[in-house]
Amino acid sequence: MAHRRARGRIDNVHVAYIAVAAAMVTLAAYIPMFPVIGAGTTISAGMIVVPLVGILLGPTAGTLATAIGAFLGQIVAPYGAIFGLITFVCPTTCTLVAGLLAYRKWKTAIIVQGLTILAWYALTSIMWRGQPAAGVRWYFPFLHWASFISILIVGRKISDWISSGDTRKMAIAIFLTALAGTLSEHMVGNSIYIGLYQGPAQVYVFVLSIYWIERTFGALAATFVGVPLLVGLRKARIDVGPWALLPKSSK
Amino acid sequence: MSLVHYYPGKSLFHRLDPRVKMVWLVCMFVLAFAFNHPLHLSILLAIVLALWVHMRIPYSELKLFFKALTVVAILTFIFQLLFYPGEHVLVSYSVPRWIPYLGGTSAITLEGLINGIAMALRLFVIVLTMPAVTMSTSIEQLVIGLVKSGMPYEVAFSFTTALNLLPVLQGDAAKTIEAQKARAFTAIERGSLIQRLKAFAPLIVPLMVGALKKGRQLEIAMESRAFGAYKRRTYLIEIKMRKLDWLFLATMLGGTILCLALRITMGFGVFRL
Repeated sequence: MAHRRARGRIDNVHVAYIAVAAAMVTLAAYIPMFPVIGAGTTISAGMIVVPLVGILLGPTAGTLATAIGAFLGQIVAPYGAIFGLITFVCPTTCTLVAGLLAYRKWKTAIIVQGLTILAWYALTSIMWRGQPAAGVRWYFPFLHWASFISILIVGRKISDWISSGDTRKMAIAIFLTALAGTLSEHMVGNSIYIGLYQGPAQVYVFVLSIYWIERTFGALAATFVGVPLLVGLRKARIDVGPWALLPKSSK
Repeated sequence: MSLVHYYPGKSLFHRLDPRVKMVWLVCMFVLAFAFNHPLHLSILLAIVLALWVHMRIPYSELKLFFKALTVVAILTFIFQLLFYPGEHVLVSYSVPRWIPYLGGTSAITLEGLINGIAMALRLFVIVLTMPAVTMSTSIEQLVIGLVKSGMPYEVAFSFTTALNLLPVLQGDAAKTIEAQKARAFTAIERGSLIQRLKAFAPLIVPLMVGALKKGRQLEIAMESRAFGAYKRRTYLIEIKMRKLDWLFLATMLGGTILCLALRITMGFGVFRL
């Protein structure tokens, strides 16, 4: 299905699905999930919806849906868009990585995730020069590395596991996909923050103690929602998701 | 979810072509990123605020933004003040290394103070420029501007459809929450962290399945109307670049390029002690 060009479709996903997914992304950003300790803010359900859009619509249509949804969000409610015009890039990266993993493009997903980690090291080595806490940059992305290595090992199986119908395999695959996506988003956000607002190293000593909890819980929440969602969609015969690639007989 | 509204008006900025406003947005972003001198960033902020006044945007809107940004701006300022390395010491102190997060810091420097002010100003410039465009341009005009700038029609269609679907999905979300609460669903408020995370499934799954079903209905409706059958489309609203737009565009681009050239060659807009 992925490469057939059809009228009104992008990567063979009808624009109607892209539009509803985009609206979901915009809306989810305003459904609070849990508070961020000490920041006076909340993590939104966007953390659940954004990787799932990648799993459902794939790397092209899904990424486009998230880009539209997040851009729309920053236009209609720009109060929290602290990166201004480029705020939408962060969630878009999450959907891209999740979509690539779910749609058998795991090598490209590894490259994208690797590039986000590389950007972190490159940027912090320039921006944090002379800062006493700059050493934090070496071990800060420990969870990103763990996710990167896990994708390197099981990345090729993720798409099959998502389409398998076996809820355990689906749960593992969705968790790894959501984690890789959300961590790539995290790295892009960090890089923009450091580049734009010269975020100092000391701040990341604090962030280090909470980000891995926040991101792991986000990926877990995406798994708790993603498994019943994918099972439900298959039962409702809504043909979006990597299984739509399978021949009719095996669906 | 409080949304930014379009405020119709007859100001010069209101009358500009949406494409020109988008270029203005990019120019302001680039300049805010290029400058790190508080004076230059203050000038940019003054331009944005003057534009808000010129467009007669109610003060209450600006207050909402300041309310939302103040905490982030103060944090940004404090981070720079405490942690930015510098040589011109203003206040000297000693925090023992064993104190978490602050341990090892020893001085507030002039560089830190100036950079803190600059970054807080940059935050306001970057966040306040976008609503200036959205409050002076209707979504229809904005989308036509994007289409005329080369965005494929399918993407523009998704954009407007998503916007129109927002209130519908918002209503669905409220109904789902009410329906679950009527069934004594309290895990999301009272349960343990894992229970709370699991509790999102009965809220988000029906919402997403419902949304995708709407997508299927929309697909059928669009196909029955032969969506995309014609390559050339006509629009209810037509936009055209006028003399005023070209003049504004040339001034803006010229100014931005000049500032960037001066920034690279002479360090214009860069703070140095």
